[in-house]
Amino acid sequence: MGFFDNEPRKGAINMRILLILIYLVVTLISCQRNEVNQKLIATDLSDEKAEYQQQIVSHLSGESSLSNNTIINSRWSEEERNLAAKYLRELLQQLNIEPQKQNYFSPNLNPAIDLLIGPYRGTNVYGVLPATKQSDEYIILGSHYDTGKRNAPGAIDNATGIALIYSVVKEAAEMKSRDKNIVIVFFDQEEEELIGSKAFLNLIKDKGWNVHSVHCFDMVGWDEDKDKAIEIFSPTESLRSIYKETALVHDIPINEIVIDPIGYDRSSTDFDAFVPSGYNVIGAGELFYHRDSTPYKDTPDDTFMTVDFNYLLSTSDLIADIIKKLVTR
Amino acid sequence: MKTLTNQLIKVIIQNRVFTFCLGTTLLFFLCKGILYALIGSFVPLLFIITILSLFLFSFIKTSGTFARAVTMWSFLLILWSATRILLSFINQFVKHVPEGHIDGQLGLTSNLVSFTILICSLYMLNNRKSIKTCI
Repeated sequence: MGFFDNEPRKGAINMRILLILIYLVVTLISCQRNEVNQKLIATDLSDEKAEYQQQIVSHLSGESSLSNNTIINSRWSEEERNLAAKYLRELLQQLNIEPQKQNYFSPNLNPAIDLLIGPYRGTNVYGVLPATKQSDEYIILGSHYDTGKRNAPGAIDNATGIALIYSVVKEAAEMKSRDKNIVIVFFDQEEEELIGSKAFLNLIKDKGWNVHSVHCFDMVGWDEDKDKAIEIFSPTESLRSIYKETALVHDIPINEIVIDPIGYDRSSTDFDAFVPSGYNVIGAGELFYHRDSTPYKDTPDDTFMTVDFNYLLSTSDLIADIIKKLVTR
Repeated sequence: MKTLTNQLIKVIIQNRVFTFCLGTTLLFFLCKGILYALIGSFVPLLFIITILSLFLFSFIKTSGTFARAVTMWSFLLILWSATRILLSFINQFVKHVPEGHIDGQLGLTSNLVSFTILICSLYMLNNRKSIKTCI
């Protein structure tokens, strides 16, 4: 009699144990991180500047697949940004620069939200091209790699900025003499209140780098009127001057915005994070404030096909000359 | 102090599941508070310190006070987990949130955490009167 009484109870206990086990298994699976272990860039990029810039923008905007058929469709979610960060580390390796990661956590903008969800977390990818002579000065070249909206491929915003920095550093690496160190940094979470660049500011302070100047590049792929013009914004007169002088030689029109650092509190591009700290900083890119800029920003139409690669090339040549001048001064 | 410790151990032994639920929820928010304090935000740590003080005070007072503290904590937790589950549901089926950072926190792991806290808080709410704490 007792045996029959216990059967349904036993079944209920077994069912409860089974449910707990399923719950634990699902929890463990959900906690696993999907890390791509294979190399993403299997063969070296082209040596031709125009070609490798196209390859980089193509890889980062999902136009072409990577070596293991992985496609970076967007760089918005944490998973997509992790994949892009891995690609960028390999990109630095292509330049024989040891890639470094700055993993950071940052609180939410409203402390009340901290109670509800976790902090911002992301990864800045950076590397140092050392000076050929003993130097404690650093020139920082930065671009963000995240995209602003879900499913936005971010070809112009900001795969072009990354391609530009890659080409500038590639040329600087070939110089026989460099008097200053060059730091290359790809910022995460620019689109979310400059969290990545603000975290990098802390890293600069921790490292104690003597920063000569910071150069930020954002959106360098749109030139509807084909005048090759770029926009620069800076509080530093000397940096604006060198950009203008060099642009004159390249026959590139410059649209200049003079920034007043006093009380400066904008948060629209990585450049803005460096102004309040008093760094010599300059931002450059297509004419965002002068109305010759991609209409596809933060949309699924910000694709490889909309990038003006001749414009990217002419701007890259200009920036490469400027950095070469600065690094040997 | 010794009496209090002995009483605490006795209550823990007598109410293992309840202790597990309460401990899990408090530990979760304590970890959260410490993590945020390390990166410069002190609101979560202040919050959990207040809650812990409240529990300590109510434990040494009367069983009724402790039951009221548990009720309040359970309601807060239900509100917390229900908000997260609702946000996750809206993000998944109604309208996507524009921030990647928030979207990343409304996935499977986040829902499992929310459900675990919800189950714990419902259990505590159900069994709050069975705890006899007074010394």
